This record gives sequence, C-alpha cells and structure tokens, in this order.
Amino acid sequence: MMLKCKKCNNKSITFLKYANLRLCKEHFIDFFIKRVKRTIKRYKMVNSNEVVVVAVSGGKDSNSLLHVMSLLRDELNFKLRALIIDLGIDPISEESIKIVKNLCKKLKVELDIFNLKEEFNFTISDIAKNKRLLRKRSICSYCGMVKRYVLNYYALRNKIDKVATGHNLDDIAQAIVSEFFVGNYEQLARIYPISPAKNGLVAKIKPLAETPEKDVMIYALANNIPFVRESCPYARGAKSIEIKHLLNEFEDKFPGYKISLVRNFFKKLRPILVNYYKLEEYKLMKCEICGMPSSTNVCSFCKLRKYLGLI
Amino acid sequence: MKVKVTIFGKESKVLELPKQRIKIEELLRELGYLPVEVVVVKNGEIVPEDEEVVDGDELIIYPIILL
Repeated sequence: MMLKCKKCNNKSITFLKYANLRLCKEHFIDFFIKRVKRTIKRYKMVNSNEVVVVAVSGGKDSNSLLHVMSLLRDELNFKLRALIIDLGIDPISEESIKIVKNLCKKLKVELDIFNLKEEFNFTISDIAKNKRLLRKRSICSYCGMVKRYVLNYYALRNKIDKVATGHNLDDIAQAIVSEFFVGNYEQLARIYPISPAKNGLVAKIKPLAETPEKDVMIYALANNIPFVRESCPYARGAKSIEIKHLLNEFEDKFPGYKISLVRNFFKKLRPILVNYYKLEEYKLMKCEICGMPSSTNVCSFCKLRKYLGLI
Repeated sequence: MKVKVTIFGKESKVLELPKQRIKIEELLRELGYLPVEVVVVKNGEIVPEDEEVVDGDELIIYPIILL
C-alpha cells in the first residue's frame, strides 16, 4: 500500500509524527524552507543588505543551512558567504574542506577557509594530545570555545553583520536540559536563536533553531547535499550526545516534546531568567592580551594559548 | 526473507528474517535504533518508517547522531 502525501497524494518520504503530517519529497522541501524562513522572520535574524556568513563544518546541519540560505538570499535580500575553520582534526578536517568547497561552488557562495594552525599555530589535535589540558576541560569544550573565538575574530576582521550556525532544535533542547541539570541558570538564560551584536561580539543567528535534527537529515538527503561520513573522532561518547539520545527516547514515546520544551522555554521561562540575571545590562571586559571581549581579564582563548606555550 | 542493510559510513550486512514482510520501524527497533534518530533510504528512496520491507529490499540507515 502506498503511503500518500497529505498535500498532493504522491508517495510520501516521511511521516512527521510531531505534526501528524505525511509529506512527499517536494512538499517536505517546501515545508522545510518555509519553516526556516519563518524562524528567520520571527526572531528578526536578518535585515536587508546585511552580510551573513554561514559557519560550515562539512556536516549535514551546516551544509543544509548553507543550502537553504542560498535559496533565501534573494527573497530576504542579504549577501551570503561561507566560512570553514580548518581545525586540524585528522582525518575529518581535510574531507570536510573538500566537501564544503564543492558545495560552495555548486551554490555559488564565496568561501573563506580559516586555518587555525596558520593563524594561531595550534590545532584541536594538539589539545587532544595534551593530557594536562584535558584535566581542566573536555576536548569538546575547548573546541567549542576556539570556534566561538575564531568566528568572532573572523567576523570583526571581515565586517560581517551576522554569523549563522547550524544549531538545530535538538541541539537547543540538549543545551537547555544540560544547563538545567547542572544548575547553570545564567548560562541557560543565554540560550536563544539570536544573540545581538553587543560588547564587541558579532551577532549570531541559528536559523535551524525550530527544525528537528531528523528533518535536517531528510533535507540533506532529499537535495543530495554532500556531508562528511565520519563524525568527529573526539566527540564519541560525549555527554551532549548521550543527553540528545535520552531526549530522543522521550520524543519516541511522546512525539512533539522536544518542540514543546524549546518553545515553552523561550516563551515562559527564559524571560524570567533574563530579567533575574539582568542579562540586558551585562557588560564584558576586553582581554588584556588580545583585546577581544572577555568575562575575565584574560580570555579563555589566550589562556589556552598560554598553556600551549604560544604566548 | 533476505534484506541488505547498510549503516551509513559503516558496515553492510544481509539479514535473514523469519517474516515475509516487516515494517521498517519494527526492524529498526530490532536493530537497536530509535526511528526518531535515523532516516532510512529503501532501494534508493527516502521512506517513512511505517513503510514495509520485503524480500530483496536494500536499506541504508542514516543515524542522525553517532553514539
């Protein structure tokens, strides 16, 4: 028996349980693009004539984001660029760059490659080999911090208005639950689909914030968007992935719970936390070494470079 | 029936199942996957998990997260 699309009676490729919606390839793609557009408009992510850079990693999320943003750039009137950071992680960095280069060529998007080794003289693999450093923070925590620093550094240097990242609904649900469980409520209050340009930080947007991760995978496959086969070798067994899995077990029993968690957090709980922690008035210092925004005298990036004996 | 199953980026194997047809969702659970955590391509096309698998079908399972 053929399972038909709710909109056109063609063969369906997916049944979205959270929306009780069965769609064919064409209508799924249309549904996906409209949802991203709605997220961009709802959170006022992009203004006319702005320069938006998509931070791509070669994975399904950021590659799909770049694809959908390339389809929306004329309608929403923004200039689109892409950036990949060569983190020096063997063997995925090389493969990621190759995939992203081809994708950008196909989508006619200008690509910049930021080589961490050339610019700052270390790689993520150097951190992974340093046992002393890993006693302080996990490798994923260092990698995240390095990427945030580099994105800001690159965006300020290149006069970028918005940095778009491929964080999806599942990433946000995981971040909410993780921060909640460890009692880090000030950090919890910072989770949002947009962070405005403030205190020397470039504005960041997450246009996939309302899109479940599974839908991103369907979109990537339906559009033949290439992505890296291997996940990061250092991320295996990461706590964040375990929490995502636990949330998916919940979603499996109660479809729609992830969307409900994220929506209700943004609408009801986060405003209370923002007010309590006075985030609107929050000010950052300048790092004594590099001059970039920091919550302490010396930023985490410079502290890392110090530990590595580079400054 | 025999079904060829490939996990994206990993191994392929031919499964011999005692049934003549089985829903993809049921097969996924037997293999230890949550349907909400994978996308399945059957004979080259993306399919919903309530579609059935019959003898000779080829599946590729794309996990959305790698545990």
